[in-house]
Formats: sequence, C-alpha cells, structure tokens
Amino acid sequence: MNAHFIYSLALILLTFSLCFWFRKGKGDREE
Amino acid sequence: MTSEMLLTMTVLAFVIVLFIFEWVRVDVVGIIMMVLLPLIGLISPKEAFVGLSSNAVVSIIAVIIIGAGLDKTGVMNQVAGPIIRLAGRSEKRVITLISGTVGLISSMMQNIGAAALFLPAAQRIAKRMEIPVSRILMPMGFCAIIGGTITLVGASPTILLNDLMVLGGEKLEPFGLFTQTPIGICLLASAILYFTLFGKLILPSAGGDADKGVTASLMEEYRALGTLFELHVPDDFKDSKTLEELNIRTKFLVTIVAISFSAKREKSFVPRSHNKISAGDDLAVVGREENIRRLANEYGWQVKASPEVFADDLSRTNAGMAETIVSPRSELVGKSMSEIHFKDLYGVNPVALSKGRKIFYSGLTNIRLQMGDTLLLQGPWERFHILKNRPQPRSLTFATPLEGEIMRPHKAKLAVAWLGIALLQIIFFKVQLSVALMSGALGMIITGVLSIDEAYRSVDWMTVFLLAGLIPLGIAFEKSGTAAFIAHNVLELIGHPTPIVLLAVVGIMTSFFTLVISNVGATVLLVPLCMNMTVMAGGDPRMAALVVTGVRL
Repeated sequence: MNAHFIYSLALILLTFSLCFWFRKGKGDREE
Repeated sequence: MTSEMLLTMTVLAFVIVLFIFEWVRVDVVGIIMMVLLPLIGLISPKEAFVGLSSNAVVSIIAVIIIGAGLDKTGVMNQVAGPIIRLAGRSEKRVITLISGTVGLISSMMQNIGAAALFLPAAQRIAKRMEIPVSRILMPMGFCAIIGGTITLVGASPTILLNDLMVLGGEKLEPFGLFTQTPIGICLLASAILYFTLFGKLILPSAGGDADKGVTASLMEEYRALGTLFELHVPDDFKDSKTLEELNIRTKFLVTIVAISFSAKREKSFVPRSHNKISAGDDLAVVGREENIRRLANEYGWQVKASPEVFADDLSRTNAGMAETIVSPRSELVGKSMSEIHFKDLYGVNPVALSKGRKIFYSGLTNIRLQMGDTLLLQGPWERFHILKNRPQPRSLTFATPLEGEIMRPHKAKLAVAWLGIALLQIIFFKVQLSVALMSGALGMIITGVLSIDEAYRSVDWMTVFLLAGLIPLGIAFEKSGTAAFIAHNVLELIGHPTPIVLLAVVGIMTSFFTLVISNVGATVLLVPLCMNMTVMAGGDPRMAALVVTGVRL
C-alpha cells in the first residue's frame, strides 16, 4: 500500500460521506 | 489487479450508489467526477474537462438551441394542426398519427419538447372523444423516447456514443447521423403497432387528475365565473347591435372575450363596446352555462358543443387568465378602467375585480381602482408577457405565473432553413456533427429567430454537466484497464459465447442496469465494458456499443 493509494481512498471516502451527510431532505428538515 | 483498477472500481461503486439513492442530483455526480478523478490521479487534469468540449456536449447544446428556435417560431405547431385534422375521430388513427409524428420530431429535438408539443392537442382530442387523456399520452410518451433512436442526436446517450468508442487508446470509426435510422424506424413502427394492437388491453380506461394549468385553477377559484363557450350568431339574425347596446355583462353576467367578425373576416381578442355583432359572427364567452343559455335564447344565438372557431386561439397554449394586483405607484390608482381606456392600453379583457372581500363580475370598468385591488384578466399569453416585461414602475403586478411565451411566427421559414443547412452539412459535406449543428444554432441567433439570451436560457445545464462529467469517468474506466479486466472475468464466467448470444446478454444486462441508474450513466459504464467483451469474443465492438444505447432506451 503506497501513500498515494491511501490518500486517494481517503479522498473518495471523504466525498462519499460529504454527499451522504448533506444529502437532500436532511438539510431541509434542519431549516 | 492494479491499484488503479481498485480505485476505479471504488469510484464506480460510489457512483452507482449515488445514482441509485440520489443523495445529490445526477449532474452533481458528474461534476464530482470531473474533480475527483484528476485529484486521485486516475486521469490527467486535461482529460477531466475534456467532456465539456466534447463533440457530444457541444452537439447537445446546439440541438437544444435549434429545438428552442423551432419552438419559438411555432413551426411545430403548424405541423401539429394538419396531423390532428387528419387523425379525425378514430382512436387508433389518433394514436398512430400523433405518436408517429412525435417520434419523428423527437429524432431531431429533445424528447420532452417533442411530447410537449402535442400535449394540448392530445388533451383536447381526448376530451372530444371522451377517452382518458392517458390513452393518447402513454403511446405518445413512449414514441417520443423511441424516436430518440432514429438519429444520433435524438437522445443524449446516443450523442455520447462517438466520444465513448475508444478501445485500447484508439478511437473507433464514429457513427454518422443516420447510421442507426433503420433500427430506430423499426423500433418506432413496432411500438406504434404494439399500441394499436394491444392498446385496449394495457392502456388505462379511467382518467386521473392531470395538471390543469393556471387558467383552469383560476376559473375554479372564481366560482361565479363559469367556463368558456362559443356562440354562433345565425344568418337570420337581423338587428346588428353594438356590445354597449346589448349590455351582456350586466344583464347575463357573461363576459365576451373574443369575436370573429364574419363580414371583415377578422378576429378581435379585446372586444370593445362599439363593436357590432351581426349575422354570421362567432363569439367566445366566459360565464356560467345557465347564464349563457339564457343569453343565447334571448337573442336566438346557438351555443356550440365545443369551441371551433377559437379552439386554437383560445387553447391553453395561446391564451389564458392571469391574476394581477394594482401596484402602489400604478397609473391606475384612483381611476376607473373606462377613464384610461384600459382595453386599448393593455390589450387584455378584465373579467373580475376583487376589492377587499367583494368580487365584482359586472360594471368593472366604472369602479375606481385602488392600490392592492386584484384584477382577473383574460387575453393572449403574448399580451401578458409584453405587459410583464414593461419597464418599472409597472401598473400591475402579476400574482399568477404566465404560460405560453412571445412567439415569432414570421421567423418560421428562417428557423426551418437553418435546420436544413445544419442537416445538409452533416449529410452531404460530412461536416462534424457539433460544428454543423452549432452553425445552425448560430444562424438562428444571428438572424433573430431567438436572442442569444433566450438561447442560453434554453440550454438544459443538467444534461450538459451530466454528460460532461461522466465522459472522464468513461475515460478512467477504459484507461485504467478496468473495463477490460471486468469484461475478461465476465467472459470467463459465462464461457466465451458466440457474438450473437453475447449481444443478447449485453442487451439484457443493459436493461437491468438502466432500471436502477440514469441512462447516461449506464451508457458510460456499459459501452466500454461491452465493447471489450465483444472484441474478446470476436464480435464487432461498434455493434455492442449500439446495442447498449439502443436497449437502454
């Protein structure tokens, strides 16, 4: 496992969780 | 398996999950791909945005602008008219003709645009034939989608195809505009045949609630208003009188919204009090049925079963009602409508006026208007759009949305000519699709068929960014060797079938895929995969690509 691979995987996961966390519907309820 | 393949597959899984659950909109997924893929080094930064300048994206922008230009000039409405007259009253003929035309039109326009064109007519025909409108709309919608397969530019996944056909870093020979036409025509014909043969079994027999539009809901709101009827003045009607003498509004609570003068062969959509009604004229009136019948009996006029003379002019797409409010600094404040010659100045008919809790249906023109009074107006949508576009301070504020738009029928020939020029370049001079189509769109803009701002507004940015964002994903899928890897493993699993069997498998696989993810997404993922599989099995990769896009529709 090289550093680039781990960085890439982390980036994908970060994007994925951002999409999940701020998904449609969830934000609407908070407002 | 290399680490790049692993990363690509992780991204793929991520994309599929996003497509299925739609945590963010599909076009946002596209933009995520544009940013994420170069960040993790699967593609170069240049490749990341290559989608935006791709043949596919430029073509689709141009096709949308050309479609908007055709729409704006009402060319397509002129096609719709004769088709509807030809269809007559047979249900099968109506379905065949309307669906067939919609299919052909959608080969050059966006599907939704083509279907929307016939929507008002379909609703009118369904009402006249007393069948649920869905019996006509369902076949029409399907044919609009299938019509997209007739040309390369008819639907976004097919436009995308040429940009996706890369195998081992080499571009395959691109498809022409009409390469797939025979297949598309066969698909369209079989769809129409299916609906005419089995339509009775599968199409709904009971109607549901459809979108009624602003005018219908306003008419429901103002209950005393009634509905639109058409009256005919018989030839034996002797005493021609002016509207002022007839005094219809006060006597019968009926508003005349349009007159067709038989002597002058012209129509007026803002009847004035000095207009004379004489034998042979036709009137469009709004009112309650019993009041209208009383009016017709009194003068010996005929009430028609459904609008004929004004069927088109007063249809939902051309005219309607709007609720407006008298603005604070309006020139109308403190004056009555007759004082300022409201109808001359505004070109629309006042139908009702509500002041506080009271609603007036007659004698409107003599009431002094105050700020905040609500005026219900009826007239052609075009007039309303002109009123709304007037510079500030506007005397009336619109409380309901306007339908329709300002049309430019005098530019119709130019619009058709530019479409023709674009097609000629593609067919006879082999000009690249995007260049030819964009030249057509540009021609329309320069010759004033539509303004540059209207062209920008008409472009569907969601489609553009979805396409542009998924192209880099396709590149990564192919470049990292993931497509070849998966294809190899799938072939191992199903044991090297003949190309025909393989194409059938490709077809079935695509059908399942499109059930869960958007059709553009399925195209981007499956085209590289299936091309690899077919090459390994000894088939034609271009054929596989076409099967994927054909089936996913």
